[in-house]
Amino acid sequence: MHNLAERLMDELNCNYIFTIPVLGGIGISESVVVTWIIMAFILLASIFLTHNLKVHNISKKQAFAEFLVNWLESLVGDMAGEKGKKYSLYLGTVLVYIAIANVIGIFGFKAPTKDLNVPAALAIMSIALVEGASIYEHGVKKWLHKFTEPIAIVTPINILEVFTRPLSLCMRLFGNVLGAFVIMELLKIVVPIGIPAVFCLYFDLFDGILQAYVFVFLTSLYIKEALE
Amino acid sequence: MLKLDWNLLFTIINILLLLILVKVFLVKPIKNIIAQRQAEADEEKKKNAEEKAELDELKKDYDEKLKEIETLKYEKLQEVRLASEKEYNDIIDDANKKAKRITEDAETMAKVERERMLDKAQKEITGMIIDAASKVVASSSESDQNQDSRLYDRFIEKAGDEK
Repeated sequence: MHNLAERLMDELNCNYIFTIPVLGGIGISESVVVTWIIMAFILLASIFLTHNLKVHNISKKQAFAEFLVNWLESLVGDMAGEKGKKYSLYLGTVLVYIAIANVIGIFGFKAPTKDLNVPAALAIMSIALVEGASIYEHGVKKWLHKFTEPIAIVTPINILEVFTRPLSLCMRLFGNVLGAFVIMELLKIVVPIGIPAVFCLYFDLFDGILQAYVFVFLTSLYIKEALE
Repeated sequence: MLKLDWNLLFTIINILLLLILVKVFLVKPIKNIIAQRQAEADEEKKKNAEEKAELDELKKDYDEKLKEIETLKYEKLQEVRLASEKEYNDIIDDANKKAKRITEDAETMAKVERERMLDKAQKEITGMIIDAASKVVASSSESDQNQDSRLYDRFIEKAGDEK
């Protein structure tokens, strides 16, 4: 049992792969390296999909690429509303990234979202985008004034929301991935054959993609609300 | 596990880089190709609209010509109708005149016939009267004979006058 706990902790810890020898050594963690791998994968897939594009007589590959881009754009664009459509690149990219990051555990990599740094970074970027979009849309004065809406007494709660929203985004994603991982590991020890495969479908594939969707859905909801 | 460090910053940089990569290598080419296709479709549409405008122009011309022809046809018909009406009227007039003349002729002829008949009747009546008178004269006396002869003469005179 002690052995199991140790192994779990080892799995959960994101180790430094290597250290940059500046400022007393900056450790590059596994999650960042896996993110690079994901980036490389997305880049290669993009180059493959957009290779040899034609206006007419398109190949199945191109049709798929066009469908994918349009589908992602309309999916996140619908969620973010009419004004939020210009942020669909960020939302779509983050959706794909988180989905791949959650599922990549199946291929033997350590899921980057299991490292708190990654969900935190995503949540910080999301809230920065939400507030940035609001400032861009309304101007600083109106943006500040929005904190006192609908009545002045809710101002502290509104200010608090700027911090609780990214925190909840971050923790929801992190907690779900972590929880799914722990349950899967325990299940593998209890029933090593058959059952884990079924639950893997739910926890690794379904929940992973669902959490990516939830993250992007909430972000786009915040953007929609901020642009109103 | 639960620690935040430099990797947070690296992740942000990674995501921003990923955004740029996705934009440059996936979204932009696809959007370009879709825009090109759209442009082509627009071009096609524009061309079609132009062609349609041309066709409309032609149709308008055609309609105008058709209208002109209709007017011309109507005018010609009207002319012909007027001419034929005139001819008809002429013929009717002619016929009326002829009929009138025939009636007049008939009337004249009837008049002449009547006069002839009257003449004949008068002659017959005169003969009858003379007959009767001569019988009366033959049966009367001498004195009366003179008077009767005078009467007779007067009668003849009057009858002759009437004739």
